Amino acid sequence: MLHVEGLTKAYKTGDTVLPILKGVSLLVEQGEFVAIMGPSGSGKSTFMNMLGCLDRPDSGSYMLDGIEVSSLKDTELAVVRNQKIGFVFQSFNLLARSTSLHNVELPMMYANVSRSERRKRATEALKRVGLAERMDHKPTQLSGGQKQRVAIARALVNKPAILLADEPTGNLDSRSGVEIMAMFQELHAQGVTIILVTHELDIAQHAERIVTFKDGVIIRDEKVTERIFSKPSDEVIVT
Amino acid sequence: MNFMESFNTAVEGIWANKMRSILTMLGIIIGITSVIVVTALGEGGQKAINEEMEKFGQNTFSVFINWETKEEIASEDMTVEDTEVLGRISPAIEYIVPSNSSTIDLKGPKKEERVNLTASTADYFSMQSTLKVAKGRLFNEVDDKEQRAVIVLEEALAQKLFGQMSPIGQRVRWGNQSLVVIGTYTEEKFKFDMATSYGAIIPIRYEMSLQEEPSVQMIMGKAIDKASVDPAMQQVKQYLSRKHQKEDHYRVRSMQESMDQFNQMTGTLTLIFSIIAGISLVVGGVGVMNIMLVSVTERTREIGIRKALGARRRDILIQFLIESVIVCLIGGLIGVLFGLGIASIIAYFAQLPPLMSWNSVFIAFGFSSAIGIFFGLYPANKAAKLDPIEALRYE
Repeated sequence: MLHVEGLTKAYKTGDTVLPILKGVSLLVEQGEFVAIMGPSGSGKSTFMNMLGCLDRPDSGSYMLDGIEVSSLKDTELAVVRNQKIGFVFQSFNLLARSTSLHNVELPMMYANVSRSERRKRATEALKRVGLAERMDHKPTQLSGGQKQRVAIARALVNKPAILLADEPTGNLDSRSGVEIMAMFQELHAQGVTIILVTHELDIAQHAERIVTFKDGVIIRDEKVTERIFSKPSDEVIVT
Repeated sequence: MNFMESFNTAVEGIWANKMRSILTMLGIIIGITSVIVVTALGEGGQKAINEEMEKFGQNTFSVFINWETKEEIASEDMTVEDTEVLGRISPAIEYIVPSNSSTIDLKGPKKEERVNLTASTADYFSMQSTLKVAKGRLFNEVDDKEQRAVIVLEEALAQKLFGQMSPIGQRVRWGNQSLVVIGTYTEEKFKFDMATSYGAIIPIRYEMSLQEEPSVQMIMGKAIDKASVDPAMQQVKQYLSRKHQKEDHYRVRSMQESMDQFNQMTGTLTLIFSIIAGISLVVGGVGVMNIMLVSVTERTREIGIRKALGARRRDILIQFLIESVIVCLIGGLIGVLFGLGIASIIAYFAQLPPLMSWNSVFIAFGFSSAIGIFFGLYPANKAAKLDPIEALRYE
């Protein structure tokens, strides 16, 4: 599904070249739920940008769903982002002026899906995340957890190959965070491939595999064998 | 994303910042309004004047002495007899008359008035198609040949000079001359004639008999139709040159030539004023660019989100470009309405006929979309080129 080989990336600041990724290789199979961990500055965010096709590597290869994307042009990358990748951000990144429904429709607008089809699929996606009642609400009228669910609906609506989540619970209270993680597990159970970036171990524990970054390389890649909580319902909610 | 959706997105963007959009439009509105007012008045006024000229001077031409000639200028370079001969021999000419005009003081029993005095032959009346007898009669060929001291007064002038009294058969004084009023006339005046004095007409042979060196200032002619104007003018010039043995002595000018020259002049004037008015349009365009730049900065994050979700450069570019074009077009539309409104009001007070310049409307729309594109392109391109990662990180 996703195969990265020898990925490098360096940033220039003035005369000095700062290497961020120093040869990263990773294979993610269809339906996997992978958490990427690491301290800030470890290169995990840059790696995430590469996976999300928001940035191009200096060298190395990146195969996504059978396409070599590391050499694509901007316009082609935009199409890959649109068709193959679903983003969930820490700060939700919903369009403030638009309703939930419109926000979810947005990726389909760039995919030239017809108006009626868009409406139908966006409605379904919002139902899937339990927001059927909130379709006409704007982001300001929604709670953090609800906003993130709209974002998840938006990420899934074009049926992407992978779902990329960057600290999806970072701006949420613990209760909403747990809800969102439960939703990820549900999606995982339905066969969605998920890659999650987090620096919180208990969030990473929801995944089935944890990849740890440090100084631009992967230092650990292991299966989660023992979960602190195997199911979200086991969580004791402190209110 | 197709055009309709880009359009809707752009409209939402404008709607979200109503006040700002309106203020931005204001620059375009003022610019377009001034351009429309200038061009509508220029074009409409020109058209109205041309129609008047057409009505009064269709197929007419006039002959003058060329004052720049190196030949000696004599008082008998043009004579009344010349016009009589020309009228007889040229089939292209319907009427041809000599004409001397001057401003004099005429004294009647009631008042003295400043008068535009025209001296000509009896054919003059036939040539002036809008001149109608009011009382008495006009002078005829015999009056002229006999050099009779008779005068035909404009009806309104007669009322000034004689009051309620009938002027026919009465006398008026011009210096030490005493003339008998034989008739009065009314005449449709040239609408844009700024002269306010009244008119009076006397036989030219009488008028010339008073001059120490009798001369004819001008010859006026009328061709039988439009196609005959040029041949008529040529024949007149040829005849006069041969008769008086002078090569480069006469200037012949048709009404059409005068009209063309007038149009060229007013056209240039209108263009100059339009350009001046157009400067305000450019200022408005800079305002649009300014606001679009603010808007792009403000919506950096939105642009980042759209890009992450699959918007291509082109999608973002078109979205912002449509936004600026819409602002300019709406501004342009309002400007056209304002402009035509103001132009109509001015036209009403200037007593011009109602005018409507479709040309200027099309130009205004063309210009406002061009300005929208021109001044929108830079901000839109800036938006389109944003790096999605940085745009998403923008606070």
